[in-house]
Amino acid sequence: MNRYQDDTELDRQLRQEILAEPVHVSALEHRIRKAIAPRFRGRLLVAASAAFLLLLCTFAYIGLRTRFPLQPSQVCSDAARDHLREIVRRESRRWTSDTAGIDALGQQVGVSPAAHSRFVVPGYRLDRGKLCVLSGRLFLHLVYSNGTREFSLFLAHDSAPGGYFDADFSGQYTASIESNQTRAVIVTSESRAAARTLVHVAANAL
Amino acid sequence: MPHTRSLFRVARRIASDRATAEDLVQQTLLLAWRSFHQFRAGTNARAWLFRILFNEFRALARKPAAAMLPLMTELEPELYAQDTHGAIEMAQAFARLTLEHRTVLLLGVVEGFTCQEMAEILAIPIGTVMSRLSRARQALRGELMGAPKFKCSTEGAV
Repeated sequence: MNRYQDDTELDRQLRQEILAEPVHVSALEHRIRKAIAPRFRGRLLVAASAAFLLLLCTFAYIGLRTRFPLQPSQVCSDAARDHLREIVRRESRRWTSDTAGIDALGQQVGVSPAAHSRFVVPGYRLDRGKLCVLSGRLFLHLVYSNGTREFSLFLAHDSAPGGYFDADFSGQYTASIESNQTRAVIVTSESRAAARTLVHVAANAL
Repeated sequence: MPHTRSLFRVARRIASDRATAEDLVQQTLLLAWRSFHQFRAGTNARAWLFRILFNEFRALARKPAAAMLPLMTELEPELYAQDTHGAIEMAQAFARLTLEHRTVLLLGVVEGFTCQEMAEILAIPIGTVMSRLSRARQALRGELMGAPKFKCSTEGAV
């Protein structure tokens, strides 16, 4: 019987012959890597440019918004949403609890540290603070607590006199006032009267 | 770079010359890199690469200029693996097979793909793969035994 008669033997011989063939692919691999590299660098460049452009647009938007007076109704609506998310629903955010850190944040939005230190509400203490954006403008968000209840005070530099404004949004009572070139917004779950009282206390402190 | 050797080994035996085989493998790996998002995790990456290789090969064969290129008909000296009579005999017999017979033997016997995987790589029914593999073995055996009834032309579809 011929040695190639059997399929298994035929396959084995063929496999052995072809697999023993010297295969030199280092030059080819080098060529492929060279062809891939510029495309990879190109994609990286496009991604970096897009990220930079997005950042630029964000800053431009915030910069543009600061040139126009704040709309108290819009600010209150944003503040209510923020309070609901971060205080009522307790979504995780990075807060600062030490006074020095909160003062430093206040300076970033053009709010004097004295402003919130003069803001005293009996039974409540300043619990924490952070920066947030309302209506395209950077605000200092302060949270005051009496152990069981909490309310939010938002502060930002605002030279345009906007007067007093209050409204209810999603069950949150908001009140906004401009005093001494600073916009103060109160958000509380208690009542509209409480929001009104608190915002006037804040206005006196500014 | 994984699988380059396997791809090149197959490309070298289906393309007309070394340069075309290198272009095929390069194009395959570039395409795979570019369309990696289409690869389904958990499936056979090697089979996916070979499917791209054969798609590229078919596309190349459809080009008018490529139609004039002869497919590998003569065994080039570099493809002699071992300088033994049996090895040369086998290599020469394999080189004389049709393209479609070479293809199924390379994929099934040398690269170890299953009939199902070969059917997906070559985009043909599994029954066709099985009968083609059987005929390819017969043809190779015929070439080795010097039987002229299995002498085939070098043309054919993959």
